[in-house]
Amino acid sequence: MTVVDIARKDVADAIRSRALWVATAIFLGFIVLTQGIVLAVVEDPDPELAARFLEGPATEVVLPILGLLVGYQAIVGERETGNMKFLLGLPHSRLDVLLGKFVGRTAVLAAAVLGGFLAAIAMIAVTVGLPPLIPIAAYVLFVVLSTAAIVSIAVGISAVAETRTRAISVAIGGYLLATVLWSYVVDGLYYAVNRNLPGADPPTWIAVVDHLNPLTAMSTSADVLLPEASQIAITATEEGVSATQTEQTPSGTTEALVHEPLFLTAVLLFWITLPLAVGYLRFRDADLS
Amino acid sequence: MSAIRTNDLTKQYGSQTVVSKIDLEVEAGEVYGFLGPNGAGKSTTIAMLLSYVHPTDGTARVLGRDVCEGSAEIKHRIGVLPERYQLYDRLSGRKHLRFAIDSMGADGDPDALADRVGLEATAVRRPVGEYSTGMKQRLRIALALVGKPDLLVLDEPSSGLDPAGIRLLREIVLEERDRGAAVFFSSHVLEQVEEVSDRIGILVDGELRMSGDLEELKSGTGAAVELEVETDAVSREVLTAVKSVDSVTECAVTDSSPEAPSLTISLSSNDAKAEVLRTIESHSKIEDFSAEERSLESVFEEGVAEASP
Repeated sequence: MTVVDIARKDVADAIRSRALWVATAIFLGFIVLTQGIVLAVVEDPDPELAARFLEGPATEVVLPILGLLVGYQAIVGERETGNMKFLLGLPHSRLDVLLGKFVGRTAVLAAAVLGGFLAAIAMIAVTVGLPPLIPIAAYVLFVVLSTAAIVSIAVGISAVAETRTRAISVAIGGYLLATVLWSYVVDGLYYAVNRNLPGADPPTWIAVVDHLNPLTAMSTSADVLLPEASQIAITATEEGVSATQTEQTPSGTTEALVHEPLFLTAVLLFWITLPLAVGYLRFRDADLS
Repeated sequence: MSAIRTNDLTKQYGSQTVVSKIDLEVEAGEVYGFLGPNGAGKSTTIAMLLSYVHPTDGTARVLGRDVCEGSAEIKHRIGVLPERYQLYDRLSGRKHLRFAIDSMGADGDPDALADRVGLEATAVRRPVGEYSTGMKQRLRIALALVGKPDLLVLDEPSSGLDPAGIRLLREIVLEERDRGAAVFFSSHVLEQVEEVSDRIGILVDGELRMSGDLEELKSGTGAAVELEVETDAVSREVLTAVKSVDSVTECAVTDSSPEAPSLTISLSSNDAKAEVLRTIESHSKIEDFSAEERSLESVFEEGVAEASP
């Protein structure tokens, strides 16, 4: 299996270059820090509330950046150094190389993600008690799927780009589009159709458009799968900031299509497949000089 | 079955033709030296044979298979040393060899291969980042030998090697040939090619100016020829007809005065002389002609001079 050969070599490279450890340290650092703040600031937190904060800056901000960093050089980097000629001089096809790199780098980042989650869950279990493990496992599975989607996008970019500089530019552009600009895109589209802005309970079609963004899909999977958090009241006094849980739970449109785990899975599978397919078609026809 | 066979193989980048209508044939069990000055298109030709670069036109078959189809399977039977590729600095020489052996599905011993190219047992366990240029090139040669390939394709294999390394390379090339493998290697140094090749081809400006059996080329029997033909009239039809003759590499009108127009025609082989003259005669009358045979050295040196104005 030549895909496995390439993937195994890629993982070995990541261990040797310490990329695996750096990625793990960063993700773990953020998720543990978030958990630490929640456990310290909230008065009498329960395990459910703490589990809700497994979603946070680590998954929403850090993970996409790590994914793009881990993947954007995968193909174009080896093209620029000429290593690609070594790989393709052996009985590996271009498809094998692309898939091998995707599998290897997804495995590396998934390992970092799992390490981070395990640390955070252990932290909750030790301080406030065991959180509900099955919903968490399902959520972690979604994050791993999202990791694969982000790595696929990055590897796809690296298969299409001619130079590393261009690959990183496109990756940064994509990141900004998905994180900062996406809500404007969605609102703009809604405005173009309805001449006003979507309200609190938008129609299904615009929610679907919103969830075509893999990061939105990942974040919604947390809303759907993780225990619903009680509302938190934050009060600032002269002694500092304190937060308390109240009983009231927020209402959501849980019945909507975009809250179906199957729909979210489909979005993420789409983002795993499409970038690799486009990347392969371009890489297949490229001249490696 | 030929180890390599190309037909009108051509590569253009935009409007620039880097390799122009090359017909190469390398038989099983022979050493073919692919000679030419730097920038002549040797590496691009090799890149097409290894399907790194897609031909604009023409075909190439390696070990009987079209390079555009199923290139990965062919690689099981080819040992490859592409143009100056980087190795993985953090991996040891041994790990490189192990990866290549696993990828080829071969059962080889990394240490035996390292020993064959003169890499010491301690060196082969060190990361490649610590290697000298010569050691890296020795490792690249060892990597090409993995799996006892039927064909070796080596792009400038002597680059970065010291004289001892070059001698070792020559021995290895001859050993591989004696084992029955075909060896196709490029070089810009005439002496290196002369020493080991059974047949050679000279590439200048993307065109194969001369090719054939080394002994014949040296003795002049298969040598290239420059024909000077004086005719009564030169038409576009004559030029097209002459250019379509197989071994014609160049055809130009040197003197287009109406009284005595003349043509200068370069041929890669002496044998085609008669055919060219017959072709011209079928269109116009030949007033006079002269033929000048050119040696291996003269063609090569002319090419080098042309390439570095």
